[in-house]
Amino acid sequence: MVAVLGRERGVLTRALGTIKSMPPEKRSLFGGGLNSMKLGLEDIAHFRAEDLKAVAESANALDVTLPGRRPWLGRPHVLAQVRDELLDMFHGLGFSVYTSPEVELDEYNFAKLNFAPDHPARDAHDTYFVKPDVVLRTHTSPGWVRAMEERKPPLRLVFPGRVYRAEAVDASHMDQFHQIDGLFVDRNVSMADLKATLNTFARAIYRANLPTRIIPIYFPFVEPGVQMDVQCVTCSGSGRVQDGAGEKRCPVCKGTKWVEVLGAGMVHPNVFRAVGIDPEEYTGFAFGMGLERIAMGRHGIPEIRLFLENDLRFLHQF
Amino acid sequence: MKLPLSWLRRWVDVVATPEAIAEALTTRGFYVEGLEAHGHAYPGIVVAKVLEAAKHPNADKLKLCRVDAGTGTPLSIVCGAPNVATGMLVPLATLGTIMPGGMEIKRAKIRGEESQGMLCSARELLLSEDHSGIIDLDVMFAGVKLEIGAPIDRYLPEPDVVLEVEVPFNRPDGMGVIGLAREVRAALGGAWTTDAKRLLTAQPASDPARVTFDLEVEDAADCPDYFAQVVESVYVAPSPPWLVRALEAMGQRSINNVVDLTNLVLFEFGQPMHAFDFDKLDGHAIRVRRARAGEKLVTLDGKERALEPEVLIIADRTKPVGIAGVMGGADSEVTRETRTLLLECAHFSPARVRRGSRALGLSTDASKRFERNVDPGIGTAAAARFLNLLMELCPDAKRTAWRRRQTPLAPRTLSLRAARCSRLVGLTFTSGRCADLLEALEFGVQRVEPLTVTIPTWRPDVTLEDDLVEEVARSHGYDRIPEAPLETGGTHAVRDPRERIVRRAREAMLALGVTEAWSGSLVSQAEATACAALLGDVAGIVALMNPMSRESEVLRPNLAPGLLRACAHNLKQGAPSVRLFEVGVGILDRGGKLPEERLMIAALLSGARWRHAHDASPSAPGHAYDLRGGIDFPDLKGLAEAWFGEMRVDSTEWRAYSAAGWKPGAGAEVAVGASRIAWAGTLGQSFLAPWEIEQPVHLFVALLDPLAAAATTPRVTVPARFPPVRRDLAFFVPRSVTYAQVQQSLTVSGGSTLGSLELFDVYDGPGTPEGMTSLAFALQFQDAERTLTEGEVQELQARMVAAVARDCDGRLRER
Repeated sequence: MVAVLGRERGVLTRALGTIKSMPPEKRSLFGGGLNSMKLGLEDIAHFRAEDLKAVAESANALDVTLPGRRPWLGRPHVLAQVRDELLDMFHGLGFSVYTSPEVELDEYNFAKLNFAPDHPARDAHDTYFVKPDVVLRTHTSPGWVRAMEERKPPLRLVFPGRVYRAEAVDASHMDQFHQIDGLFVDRNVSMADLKATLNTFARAIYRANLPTRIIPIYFPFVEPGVQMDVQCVTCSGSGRVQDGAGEKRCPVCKGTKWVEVLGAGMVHPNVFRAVGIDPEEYTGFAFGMGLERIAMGRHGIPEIRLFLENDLRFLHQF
Repeated sequence: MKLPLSWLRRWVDVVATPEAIAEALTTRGFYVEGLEAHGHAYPGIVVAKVLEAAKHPNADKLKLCRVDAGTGTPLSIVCGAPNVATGMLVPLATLGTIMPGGMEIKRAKIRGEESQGMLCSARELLLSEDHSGIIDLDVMFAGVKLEIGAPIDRYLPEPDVVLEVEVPFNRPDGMGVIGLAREVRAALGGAWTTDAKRLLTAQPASDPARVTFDLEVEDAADCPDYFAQVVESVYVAPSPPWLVRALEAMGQRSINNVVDLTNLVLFEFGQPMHAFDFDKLDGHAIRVRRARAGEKLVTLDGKERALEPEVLIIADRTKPVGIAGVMGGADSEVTRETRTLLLECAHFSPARVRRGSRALGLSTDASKRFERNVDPGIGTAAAARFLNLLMELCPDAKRTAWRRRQTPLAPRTLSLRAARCSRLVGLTFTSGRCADLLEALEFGVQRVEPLTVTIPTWRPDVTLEDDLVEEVARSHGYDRIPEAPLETGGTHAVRDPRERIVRRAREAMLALGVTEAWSGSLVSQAEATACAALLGDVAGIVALMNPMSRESEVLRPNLAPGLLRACAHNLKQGAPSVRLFEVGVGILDRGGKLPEERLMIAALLSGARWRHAHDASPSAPGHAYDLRGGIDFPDLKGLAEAWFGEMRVDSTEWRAYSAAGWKPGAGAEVAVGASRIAWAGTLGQSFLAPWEIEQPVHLFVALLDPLAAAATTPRVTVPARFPPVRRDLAFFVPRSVTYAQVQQSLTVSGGSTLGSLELFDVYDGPGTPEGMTSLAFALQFQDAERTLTEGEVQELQARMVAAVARDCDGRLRER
């Protein structure tokens, strides 16, 4: 380095010294070239020196393989994810959210939904009572009654929320779970509209080409009543699964090839009458589905109890 | 409800596979949950006689048999069963037979001797688990003359398939084989069998000369139809094999001939019946009446029941002998000693049976059926079926005259417009098509638009025009309804403000590294009371009248109980830190018609400050890689402040707060304007004791509804472009002065030129005057219009120092 750039004896310094003896027309060319060469070499020398200094300091270097100070990450609850996905999908179909109380009057939970007093259909809803006429809602359908009493058709609403049934808790039963109901009331709503809406839902939440079917079912608050099934994903609709060398009946669909996903139907004329809507003028469809069922199917969650236990090892998987 | 196809085929001639029948029922609203095969067919397996059972020449445990299978030439069979003996009749699987388990029988040499078939054990025929020896057919079919060489299928019941049908609540007719047969017939176009036609219209026979009892029905509204007949010389005995097997397919154990026959008719017709021991009926009388206060009855299950006037009973001249439609009395039970029985076949009011069943807390198969409404038109045919079969089983029995108290049934009609049907289903129906579909289900139809439809007695569920629409729609097939994609109709969905605030609240908490919990709303009284007190609520816990357990007897007053349970659970499972939040409603009774449901968010922090750190001990200076340090109140407050910022709530007032449960001096309440909207603090160790949590826990709770009101829509301030000037100022202030006071004083005196103010140190160590604390601030001055001069900054600074001296009794700390 000194041999080239040295102030007195360096090759470049000496070469620069000869400029004075050159003819004037050559001085600028020669001098310019030498100068840029000198600056370039000085830069190299500077960076090399910095490197050497860093090596000298490396005794204090970080062990970059140590794990970082990781920030906390929050994970949304799996049921919230399913709920928001459904609400967003229904939002796209023009359905707005309507919320109603968890502690509800018997009148809204049952009477105005066409459950006659003393009707055995009430037995299917094991009900928690707070007072003789106040219950923990057994479904999110009381929301329809409140919405229809409050607003005029056309109505396009969804009703997400927690519901309660007085049942002993085990791997497949909880006394608290979550539903989303939907309601569409207008002048000429038909089962064909309902079928299209349910299939849109199934395509969005399951997969685009998963076969679905609708079959009749009884609920007091709809007529006709509809159940929607999707093809069993576990056995791909064959009803049988491999069991070691042989085959056995699919444990998920019990060999029926279908899995129930929701209940629906045309709003019962008695429900319309209870809220002062003329069933000759308006018709409507409604549907209701359970969030847990969808989440369990999607993620292979084996026990319904896991949802409200809040074990971090469970929550952090979603 | 179980539907054995052997039972179905007695009633309806239908050519269809079990799967097709299941599909037809399911798509018509009778969900078939499963198909179960009962019994097998055994092609290739014949009755054979062992002519000789000699020892196998080359094996100690095997026998070499000569067997007559009716083919003329005896067959040679090697058999390992210990019980094979000369003269025995056995099942022989001939060559080429596929066993029920799938194995094929082939010609084989076993230890050098040829075997031309296999003698079968019960397990090999899947008849039982018994594999101890081959089946002795003389024992199995005792008393039956067996023909050598005949297929054993000839002597075994035909294989059956049993469908498990989920009957909808509103279809009591589906609780009988006849009702399901009617659906199958309508769906698949079969015809009623000759037997069926006869049995459905049969009337009980009687000997009109002999009336031996008295019948009174007090109120026809409670009991529109009561039929009874006395049969003499009855012998209660075991049922014949056909009856035992038939009930077995239904999943019903055989008891005796009388009980089994009532069950058979129950499953066929859906009509519950009851047989009394006639000689136990005082005065040979039947009175259908309400119970009187104070009356008692020991029911068939041996329990004494106190009756009340809500309960409809069957009584004799003096006392109750049965609870109508629910259960008979023990005293009048039919036993082996019974010689004369009285058969009851009645129609009780569904509501009356339900009240009786509820009043007594006694629900039976019969009461469930009556509650759902048994076909009021089927009683006499069901009674005739029972009595005719009883006569077959007890040839010496004699019937007397029957008695009946009946309110005549008025036919019900409804009107159906094809247009209503088309409008609801979304598919055009003609009235002819509607009529065809309804007639297939045995509705009577007058084919003039609008259709006048007569409702069959077994369809109490059909009460409105729309019910007929459903009959038409499901008969036509839901799968044939087209899809009509929804149009927006000029409307659009709107986000409810509550939904909006919940979404933002959750997203902000997630962004701050807190995981979302969802916990149960039902908690113990103790948890609820303790947690309500945290927010100053001392009353109004909402309790359940019928809780399932003490752990879930009341509704949560706020979200603390769930988060504390979650915290305790995770710490027990070895989690070093817990950071959870939840959004939900806290429920308290404030005296309204319904309790108040307050929408809130709560966050719980406990454990280490850093993720993956296991040590929550206080931070110590040292290595750069220091992950120690436990979450403390400033961490919680920082989280809360950041969260409020994300919620666009820019001015919160934090005040010291104390209430039972919080660690003394470590609680705060947060106000926006005049309303208190949040609480934050460290929980007291004694408060945490019931959850068995020993480490510090920090809790934040905020009400969401007032937040929605407090949130502001941000109005933009264009950032200043002139160079900022930074200054640090430290003050000694008396301990009684809060940070908020100093901050307020500096902010007001600094005016709009004070761009930012951040506290960076709090110190009260050596060098601090007695009773004082040092607060050090980093200030930044910036003017929107121009560059500040040194003089201006000096002047501002002096003004702020003076303000702190005046407002807070503080003084500048010299360096």
